[in-house]
Amino acid sequence: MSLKLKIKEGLTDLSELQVQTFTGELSTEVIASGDGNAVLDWQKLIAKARAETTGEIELVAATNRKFDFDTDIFVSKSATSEQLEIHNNAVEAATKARQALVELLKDLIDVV
Amino acid sequence: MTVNDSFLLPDLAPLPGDERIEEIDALLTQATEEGVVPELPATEEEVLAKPQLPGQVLSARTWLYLLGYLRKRQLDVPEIDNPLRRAIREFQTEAQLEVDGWIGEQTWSALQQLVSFEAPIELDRWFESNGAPTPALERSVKARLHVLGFCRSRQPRSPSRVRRALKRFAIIAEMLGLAEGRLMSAIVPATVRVLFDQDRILERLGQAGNDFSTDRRGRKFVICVAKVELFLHGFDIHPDGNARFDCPDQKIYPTGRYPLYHAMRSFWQGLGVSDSEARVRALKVTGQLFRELAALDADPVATSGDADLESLVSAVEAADEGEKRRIWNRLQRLGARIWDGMRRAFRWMRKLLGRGLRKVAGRACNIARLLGHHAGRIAAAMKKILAVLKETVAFLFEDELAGSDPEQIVIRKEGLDFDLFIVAGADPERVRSLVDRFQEQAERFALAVRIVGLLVATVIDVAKKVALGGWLGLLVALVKIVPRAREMMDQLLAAPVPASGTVAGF
Repeated sequence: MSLKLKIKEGLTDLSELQVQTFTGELSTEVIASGDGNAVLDWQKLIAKARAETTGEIELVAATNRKFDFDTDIFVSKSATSEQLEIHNNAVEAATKARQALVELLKDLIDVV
Repeated sequence: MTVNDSFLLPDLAPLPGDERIEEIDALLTQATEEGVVPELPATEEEVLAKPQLPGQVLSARTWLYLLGYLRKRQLDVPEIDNPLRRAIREFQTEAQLEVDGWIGEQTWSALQQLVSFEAPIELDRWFESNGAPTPALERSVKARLHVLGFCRSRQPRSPSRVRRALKRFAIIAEMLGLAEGRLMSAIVPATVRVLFDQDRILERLGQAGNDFSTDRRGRKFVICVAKVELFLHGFDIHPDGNARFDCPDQKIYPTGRYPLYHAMRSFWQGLGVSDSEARVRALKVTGQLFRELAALDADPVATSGDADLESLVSAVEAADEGEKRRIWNRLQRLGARIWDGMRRAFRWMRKLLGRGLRKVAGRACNIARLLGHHAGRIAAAMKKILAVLKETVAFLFEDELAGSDPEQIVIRKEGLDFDLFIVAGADPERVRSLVDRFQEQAERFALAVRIVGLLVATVIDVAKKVALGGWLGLLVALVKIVPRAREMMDQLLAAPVPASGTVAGF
């Protein structure tokens, strides 16, 4: 697949970025695919986290960062410092990737 | 070389960013395939896929001819034909290399050591455990003795001729103080070390004064060293081992004759000597010539700084149509000179550019050499950076990041949002490892995008300039981005590359 198609495939909205970190037991969410590889059913996983009934899956933290860097953050009371650090590192990486992508797809560079 | 002279840089300005990157990638690939940027093939598959690598092939032909592996140079044959392949194999056998018949990094490096004047020679590598020289080194010593005027034949067959040549060299070395005591007239490490130390030979000639240059014992040697040094400095002369020095006795004479006279005259003019004085000085090879050459070589700045690269770019951009054409023509004929004498070329050009001199013979040649040399290295770096870009895109834009493990941690992407799932009780090290890799790849992606973006913008800028829209424009653009992108490129290319598709250690 060309670079162009790879980047554009599935890319919908650059105006904001969302990172969610979950934790829990995965046994009921794992589905074995036809070739034997275990895959996550993310839809079920997120629905379970939102339902908050069984406590099996929990949303640890969520960050929603807009293009102008306005940021909404949710942190669960039970989030450990380690989980929070992992989440924040992922937010940083995702932000960096998004900024680079914006730079790539828009005519922003002016070095003349 | 069949380079398309009418080639124009693609118009990248109206394209979206991702398409610009694909165009740049294709441009660099084409530039390499057509021999516009000199590059060594990294793998045999590259050689087979791209049989024409004119720059390296021409250089290899010259070097293998000097070493006696080729009977004829055939500089009009830019591809690897059967005689050249046989010569390469023979060299590889004698140099104790893997015999595969193509010029990869090992073979190239070995050739450079044995033939070039600036590349240092690793003596341990060229002597057997019993102290005997390898056959390849023997040939190299003979070639060097020939070039320096100690024997007529490029590859004398008679061992006694070689011994006599070495004896003559030993006498000269003693006169110049190149070694303590008299060197052995044999191919032993001490003698080879001195024979191949061109920098030291120049330094001692610079200190020796005019007496040495006029001494009959040293006269042939002195003339041949002058040819070597002026060749390395980019003048139109070749170190052919011929110590005959003819000077014109009239004001008007064919420009194709008296190459040493012309080269020296241009050198003196480049130093600011008046034309009339330069003509007088060019009638003799004197100690003064070597003093000036040695002084240039003693310049402590060994490599091109950013300011020098900017001067080089300015020199090309400001050149008139005639000079641009000369530079381009030289680029296509450079051959071995792009890989030897670069240090001298840089220092000489520094002097010329610093003095604003435009009409000095050898200027176009040296601009071409420096441009080709630097652009070649930067093109190679840019191709690696484009590879990093593709690799990081592949990592970052998969639905699930490579290295995700449903028993530890999974990171998935949807659009540009990311979800992480940390399994309860997961190994903290493995969790941290994947997130660290995510951060590393994002950082590398960001750097690669910025660097490639700079190149794209520079190509767009250069293409706007009249008559720099062709291949010459690409080379200028490659050199032009270095001052702005150097740190980023060093950072990106120096970082250890994470194992692709796996979390480190698992």
